[in-house]
Amino acid sequence: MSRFLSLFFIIIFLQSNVYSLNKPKTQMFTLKNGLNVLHVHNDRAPVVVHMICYAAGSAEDMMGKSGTAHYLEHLMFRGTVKHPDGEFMKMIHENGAASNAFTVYDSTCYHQVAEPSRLETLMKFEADRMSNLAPNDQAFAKEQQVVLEEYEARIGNRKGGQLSFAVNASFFWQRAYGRPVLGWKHEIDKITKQDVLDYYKKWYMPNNAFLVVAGDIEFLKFKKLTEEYYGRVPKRVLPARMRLAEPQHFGETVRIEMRDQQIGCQVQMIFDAPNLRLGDKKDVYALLILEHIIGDGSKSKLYKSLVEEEKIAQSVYAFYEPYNYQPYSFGVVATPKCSIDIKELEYAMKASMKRIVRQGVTEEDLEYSKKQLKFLYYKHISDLYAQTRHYASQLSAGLNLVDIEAVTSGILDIKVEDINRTLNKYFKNDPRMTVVTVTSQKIEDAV
Amino acid sequence: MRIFFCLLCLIANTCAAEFSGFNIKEFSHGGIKGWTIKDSSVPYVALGFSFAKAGSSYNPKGKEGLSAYFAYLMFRGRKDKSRHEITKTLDDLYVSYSVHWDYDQMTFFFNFPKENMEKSLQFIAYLFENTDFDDKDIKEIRNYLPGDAYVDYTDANVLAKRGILKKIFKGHPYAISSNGTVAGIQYIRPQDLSSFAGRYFKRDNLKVSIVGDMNEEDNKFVIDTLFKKIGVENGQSKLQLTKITPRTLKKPYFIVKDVPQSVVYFSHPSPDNNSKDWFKAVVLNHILGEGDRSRLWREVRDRKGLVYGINTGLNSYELASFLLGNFSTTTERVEQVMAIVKEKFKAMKNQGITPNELKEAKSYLTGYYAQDLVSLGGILSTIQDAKMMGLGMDFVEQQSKLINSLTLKEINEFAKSWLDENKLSYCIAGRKTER
Repeated sequence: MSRFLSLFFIIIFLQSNVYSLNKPKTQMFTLKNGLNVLHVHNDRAPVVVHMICYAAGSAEDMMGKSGTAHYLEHLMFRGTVKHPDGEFMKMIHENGAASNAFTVYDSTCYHQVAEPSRLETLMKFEADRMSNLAPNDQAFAKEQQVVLEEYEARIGNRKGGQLSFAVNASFFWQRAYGRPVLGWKHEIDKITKQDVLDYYKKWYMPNNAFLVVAGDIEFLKFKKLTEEYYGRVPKRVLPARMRLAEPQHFGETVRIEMRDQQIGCQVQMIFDAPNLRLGDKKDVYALLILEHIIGDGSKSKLYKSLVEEEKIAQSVYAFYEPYNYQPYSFGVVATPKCSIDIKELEYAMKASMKRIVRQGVTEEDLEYSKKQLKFLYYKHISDLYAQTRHYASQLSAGLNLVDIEAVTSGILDIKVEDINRTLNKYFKNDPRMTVVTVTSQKIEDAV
Repeated sequence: MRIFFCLLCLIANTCAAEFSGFNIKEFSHGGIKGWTIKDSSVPYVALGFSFAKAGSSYNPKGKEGLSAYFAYLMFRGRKDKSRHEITKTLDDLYVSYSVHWDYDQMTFFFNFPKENMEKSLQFIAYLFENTDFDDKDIKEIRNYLPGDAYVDYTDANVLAKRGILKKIFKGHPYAISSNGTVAGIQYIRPQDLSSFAGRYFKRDNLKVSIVGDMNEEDNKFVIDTLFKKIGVENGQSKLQLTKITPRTLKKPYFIVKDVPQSVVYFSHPSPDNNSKDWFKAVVLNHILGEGDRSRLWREVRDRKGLVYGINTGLNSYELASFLLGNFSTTTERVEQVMAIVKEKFKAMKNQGITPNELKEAKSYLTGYYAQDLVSLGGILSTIQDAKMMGLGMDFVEQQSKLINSLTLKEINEFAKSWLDENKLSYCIAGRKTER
């Protein structure tokens, strides 16, 4: 027995030696009921971040019931069989914890930050609402109001939100990313309590959840706690994610224009781009670097050409989202100087992108961007909340730990040839969408 | 043997996990002591250091705002290096920074990747050793700072807060904003700014904390690079400013301002954070007015819907401590809410708190600080604050112990001696009403 014990401890000790490399100390395991658990040990301060993500988001909303996933996120705070409405937030307050949740296309996540000795209580309540949700009708009606208010605040009153609805709905012909996470208003209005509970029963179960806890909690003790609380929740039959694939596109460029005082002048160009789960990993790494080379900071290509040389734009940036369950997009954005005709900026942007593809990048560009990206990553994950979210949201969007952790080193291995090949592959043709916004003031000027 | 040793480590670790605190170590080099928490999981570093007696109260008379002016210039251009060059160097090294000052002290925080440690520290040292600022930047900030002070005259919230401090600390440096005064800033000369670091930043008022991927040698390097050249003694530290007990205003101080909602600040005396009564006051304040479950919030917001929010908090500075509360409401309701505040102070004084309230407050107060500890910067500022308050490395354990040991009886006895609704002072910024 003692021999066995020693061996057991050596293994753990060796493991922890490996972990002393510069990378979060992660250990992953799966409970008998299928709950996927990631432990990230860090004892620098007395705090834990506790996050559970369900691998179901707005993309899992039924046809005609958009907004269900987000509605459910709100209801999760409104009482279970054991802990009626109000008890969850009372527990959070009494423990001095911070608590919140978010819904995205591919997952729905709930998280708390607390002093480590409170973890057990947090787990007790979180495990309870995994299968015992029982909001009363009053809570349901109240939350419908809140959800609609959130819709008005983010979309009804904000042109920027309206524009993003229009852009996504037009960019994605079939992928569920064309439907807003918040839902279409006429559909939110009609969601019933039964719709929400159906979604809950269909997707909320240990075998469709990812628990990530980072902070000052020792592994063995943590594992015991997860078994004790989450281990009790029964496994259920998990349906497959039904996702429609994007059909072939025909080289078209869709153009969206919006004229409004509130929104300001801007040109956006959006391209198709692969995701990490399904795409060529090298392409993804190269695109992550290109996001930086093209549009991040005063050394970026677009900044140099549009802001410094042509003096036509005030600011530029690029965006790329490769961590979704299905491919999303790559975009470049420029804000013009006030006096410039927006068309001029549009042509200049297109020309700049073509020039970048033609000329490619230099060794120096690449090394600089790799370095800055590495630093950005370090800065990001030096925050335990960011670290937890990084793992939990990517795991629940269908990625595995190996792929997630390989990204930083993958980026460092990319060569100039990879970048130039990727430029040709994704940016040689015109963007699939151009979004132009103009203030109404400008329109009056033009007339 | 090795196996045995490992086993011991594990057991020790497991035991330590039972009571979690910070993993703080003290380091000492070249006569400077600091706190450090090592975290090698990410090659990133957060560094913070504060200089006591470099805050606004220690600025020369007639030059109020010198600390603020200097702080704004710290990352601007020098005579031999433009603002643009400085920003570019910091960007390339991926150094982020912030500077904070209040009545008493000035604190600098930096973040940088471990592999840029040497270059980053050398550049930070350059910034501290070369404070001959670019005339262009001096001028720009001079125009900007009064703008900052100008906020005091437009925003009703700032107006009311400044107003109450101005009255309860009348005649004391705490009556003046830590941003100084418009007049003071106009009298500050370039040589006041270039000599600021030499005058205020000395070893005897320096406190350093380092969090992140740093070993002992690295910590020494920080000290050698940044603080080797600075003088030992701060002339300012001999300057003892007098402690002050905030005055009680006989009637509300009214600032006429045409805004739809009046902003009200109220104050009450408080024990100092190093007094034996501090945590009793912390518990009482929590129950009375901290957050959305307090007595005041439930009454004024939840039950009566008179305000959007109402809060109270304890402030403890080097020279004075006080409770400060605030709320906003329509002009007609101001007096009604003020009456409720008074009534709640009185009720807490006379009837004390309930066992249940105490239980909840203890649970909250021994846990909530963790919310600030997710980032390196949050950990850094928490331990740096504790260090500036003169607490020990086990301050979390000590404070939790202290809070948990408080009894209902002693808290309610303290409430009787401390709280006094007649010691409430008010400042109202808003429309005048017919009285």
